[in-house]
Amino acid sequence: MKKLDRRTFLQASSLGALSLGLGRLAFTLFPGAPTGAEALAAGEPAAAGAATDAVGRARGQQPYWDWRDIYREKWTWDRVVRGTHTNANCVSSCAWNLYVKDELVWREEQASSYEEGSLDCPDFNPRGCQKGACASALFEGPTRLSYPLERIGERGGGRWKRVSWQQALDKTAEALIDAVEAQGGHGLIAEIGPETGYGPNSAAPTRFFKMLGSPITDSMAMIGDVAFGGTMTLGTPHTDGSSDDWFRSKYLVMWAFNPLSTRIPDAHFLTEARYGGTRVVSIAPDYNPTSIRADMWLNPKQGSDAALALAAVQVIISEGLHDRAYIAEQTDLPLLVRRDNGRFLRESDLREGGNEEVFYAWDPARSREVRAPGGRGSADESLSWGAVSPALEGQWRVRAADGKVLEVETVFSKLKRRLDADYSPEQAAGITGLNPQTIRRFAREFAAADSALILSQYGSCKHYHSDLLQRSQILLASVTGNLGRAGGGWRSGAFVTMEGMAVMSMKKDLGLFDLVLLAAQSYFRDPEDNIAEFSEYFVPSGLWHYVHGGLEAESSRADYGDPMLVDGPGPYVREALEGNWFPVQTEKTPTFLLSVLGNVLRHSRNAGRLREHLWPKLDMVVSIDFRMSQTATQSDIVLPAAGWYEKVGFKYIPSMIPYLTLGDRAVPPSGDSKPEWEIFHLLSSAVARRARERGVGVYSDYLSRERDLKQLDAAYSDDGRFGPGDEEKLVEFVLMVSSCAKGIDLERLRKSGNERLVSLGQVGGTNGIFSDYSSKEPVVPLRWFAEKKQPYPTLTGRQQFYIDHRWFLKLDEALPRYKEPPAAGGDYPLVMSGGHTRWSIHAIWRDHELMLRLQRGEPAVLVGAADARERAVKDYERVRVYNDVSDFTARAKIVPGLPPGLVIVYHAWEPFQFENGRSHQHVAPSPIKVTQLAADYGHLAWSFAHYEPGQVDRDTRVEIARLV
Amino acid sequence: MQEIAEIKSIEAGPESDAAARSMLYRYLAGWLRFPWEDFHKSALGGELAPAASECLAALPYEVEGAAELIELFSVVESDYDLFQSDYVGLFDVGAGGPPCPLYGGNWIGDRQKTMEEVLRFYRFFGLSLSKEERDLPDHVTTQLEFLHFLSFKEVEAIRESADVGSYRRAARDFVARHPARWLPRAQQKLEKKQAPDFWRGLIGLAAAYCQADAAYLVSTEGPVAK
Repeated sequence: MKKLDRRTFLQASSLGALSLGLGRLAFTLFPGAPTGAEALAAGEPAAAGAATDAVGRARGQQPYWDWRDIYREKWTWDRVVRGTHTNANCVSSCAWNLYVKDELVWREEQASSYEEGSLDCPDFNPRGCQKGACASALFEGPTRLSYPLERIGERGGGRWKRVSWQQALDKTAEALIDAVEAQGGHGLIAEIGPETGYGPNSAAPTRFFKMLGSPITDSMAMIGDVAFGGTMTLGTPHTDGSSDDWFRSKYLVMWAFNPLSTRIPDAHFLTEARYGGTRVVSIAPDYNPTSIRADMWLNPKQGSDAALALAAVQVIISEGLHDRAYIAEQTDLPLLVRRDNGRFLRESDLREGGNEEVFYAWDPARSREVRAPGGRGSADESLSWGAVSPALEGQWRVRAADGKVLEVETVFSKLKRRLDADYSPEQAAGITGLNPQTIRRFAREFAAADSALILSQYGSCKHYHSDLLQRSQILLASVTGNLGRAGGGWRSGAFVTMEGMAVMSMKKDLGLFDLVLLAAQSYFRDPEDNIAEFSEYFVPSGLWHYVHGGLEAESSRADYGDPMLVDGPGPYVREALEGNWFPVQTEKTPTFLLSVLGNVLRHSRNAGRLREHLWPKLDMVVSIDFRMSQTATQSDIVLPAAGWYEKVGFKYIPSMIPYLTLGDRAVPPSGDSKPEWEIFHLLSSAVARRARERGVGVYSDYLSRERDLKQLDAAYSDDGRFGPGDEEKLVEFVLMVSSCAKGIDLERLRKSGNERLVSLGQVGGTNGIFSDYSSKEPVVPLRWFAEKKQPYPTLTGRQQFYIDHRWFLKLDEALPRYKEPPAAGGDYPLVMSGGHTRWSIHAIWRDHELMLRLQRGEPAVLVGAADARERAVKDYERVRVYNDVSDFTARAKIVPGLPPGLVIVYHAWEPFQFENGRSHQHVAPSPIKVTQLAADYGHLAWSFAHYEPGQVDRDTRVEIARLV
Repeated sequence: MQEIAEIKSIEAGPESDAAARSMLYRYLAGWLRFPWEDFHKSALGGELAPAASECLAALPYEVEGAAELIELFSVVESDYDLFQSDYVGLFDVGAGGPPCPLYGGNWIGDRQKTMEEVLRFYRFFGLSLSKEERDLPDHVTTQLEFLHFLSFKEVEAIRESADVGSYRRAARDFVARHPARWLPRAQQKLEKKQAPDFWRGLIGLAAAYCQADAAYLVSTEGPVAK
């Protein structure tokens, strides 16, 4: 560079004067001092300098010598705000104090603000985990989205341009109107993640799509989180109590559940329980962090757990350790089954015009059949047998309506015969690999405990035969009388909503509810109607993608599923669809997909198929997210959502933590990001405006109801009663309408951080809890049944272990049983399993630097030492994992705690974190199980997160090979 | 960007040295913001190179490789969408984060500590983060803007015969501990990625200038304390 002398430079250049211009920085002024700009505007440049100096520390006041000077002043906070991680899809509801300085959250600290509940149990203080402790860093990290983006070039090519909200919303609205114009409500599909947040921003997307009348995928089954064994047996997939009830258990069984890694804030109840003499059992094929804390570790072969449970039941019944009275009262085991066709004996069998839903037991005192109380066709409101003591075991003859003699026997007899024939401990040992004496010991200890609790949770939902596994687990808890008992039972992680959220999600007239609160409360007196209405416009995600996403190709292969299904599940799927058992239409495929904190291209098994098959049919894909997820990378428009500390909401997970925890807006949203309520408000306005401009209006929605696009903004905002910035007003509304929060408002929550629930609310029979509530004791589910003798929401009104649906009978699954896991993905020697990870909540935090530092930092496949040796694979070497469906590459991590034949890839790596963009989900064909499709049977009927085909990955067969 | 104050009739000598430094920091801070259309027009119109050259020529030291770097950022993508898309894809977003984030803490490590330290610098001199133009304290624009501020104050102090040393020592420490430390690594990343010339040139110039300014200030004020 040629140097000019200074004088020449000043004459020739623009540097004759120098101005100070600041954009990112501003003066920290004392009250009353003029800003530099004000001084400059007044034509007083010197004063502008003086303003600077008035607050600056350098000139004459405090000279700067070296960088240590800046550390001399004590670091202080501008304010401390109550916060939590509202829609992180985490169930932990942890209260944090957020430390704010210069409109940034710098750190969070666990707030020990949980009021003491039961005096018999340790309290919930403090709650949190390492992920929550660095959420502020997550939102200030490089993965954060802060501006609307529009794709440039081909979809998924990674090129984006920044656009204004107006541009992004207009394009989105235009495409949405095009889709509706072409196909009405069938033109769109919404992918909403199961975010478990509460408050206006969580309700906003559901509200938007319900007002639009377009389908929303119910992703609970697709992510493999529906406990079908619960639905089949108890009439509810998920049932759970509060975590402090673990402490009251005397025998705590962690079955496919690893809370030391995945429920960190609750794990202390487990370790504390041991001080009280509780015996802790871990059942898992791998020696995991929870197994380390257990008194006994049982490691059945992957997928053989049902055999272990049934063998334990066999021991208990054969040794007379079962609770006869409980079984007779609470279960269907005393009910009579016809020996000729395997169906329950029904009133319709015994007399013309008899009820199909009235069932019978045998009364030995009168030597005849007797109507069982509690069935759906029964008028009885109690399970009590009164003076009758039904026989548990035996075979008899009854006369049918047509005069024929029918041979009948009890479900218990059938069960006992099956158990004795197939599930002795020795037989189960052959299946599970466990020692028969270990199985006996487990069974006897379980039966002898004052309270025995199986914590099964979401891990057990992800096997092809998860229904059989869970039905067997529930049977074990039931024959010992534990369901509905403090510290006892079977728990699967309940999903609970609240009245205010339901109202906000599905009712246009929020203002009306505001005015007539009493009417709102009466609305919830019929939980079944409420659930049915809430389920409207939701579609079962797995089945929807089977049809429209191309998943059928692998999911329906006969050789990937139960060998008893010679033709695969295809004919059953067709029957279910043709029978309209599920609200999935097959004719029209939408052309517009909007993903809201959902990430279907990450969470779907066989996700590569979705990208190849569904994506090309979509004219527009829009993602709303705060991070660049896999699905966002494959979108056309990305709208940035505000982070958890940048909006108002709360957590409400009463089945685990009976507190309402506030997530307050501590700082403004980053960049141009916005809370979801506001985003959908703006979008509904844009759609309505463009619809008016284009003259597009009335259309037929997904349920053939008439809608008007021009009125979408009015519907969403309740005729303008709630504006785009009315988050707080809506929080107050949700709290006011929800009985669990009676008397609790935002101001009170801001002071305390969290509040013990007032009640469990009224929505849907408290969504899997079915118990009265006291603020002074832990929540125990199913007490209405066990203590008040109320009938269960099943066909028989009882814990129903026998399902006499024709498909169940054909597949020999009428009773719980063990079936060998299928060879999903082909006949390969290794089973690839998975599990939630300690280091992320699904994909959130999965790519966060701080969490990656605590592990290998990249996708790893865990391989046992023997399997690694056999394949000459060394630790950290790259391996190719493959089967018939696809392949992926990852580093091998050799671990001693894995049995031969099992490899594990922990949850939620994004495909973009793998070489070639293919993840472990890409090799999982997720065969569809037909017993999850039988929705024409009593309590086996479609509704939101209740019964629908699920996705599975724990049976995936693979081989691994070292990459040179 | 808000015009806060102005010093007229810069004198040749120490005043113009500091003014040139200040002006170049200001230019670079502005050029490394998100590139709106008016910036693209300026770049296309060839306004950047002369501005940078003017300042460089007036600096009291040489910036190694500056001419080549200026040549690089004279190559401007003519399509605005593609131009800004390069910026977005390099510095703003990407799967797992952008390849070259413009936040110092991402390069130095211990992000919170980095953010705390730069904020402490700002506050020591009576500054805080703007509420109007919110970004994190360790963004390159914020850091370079602070250096622009310090050197502006240096000119002001010279003119008023006040303490110049505080500003120079602070600039030495700040540039050495922050942008001069991480911008060269960002530049290497862009080289490795074969990023478009324009952005390689700009980041390269920012890196070279910060390193040169750090060396210059160390030579006059003494070494950075350990």
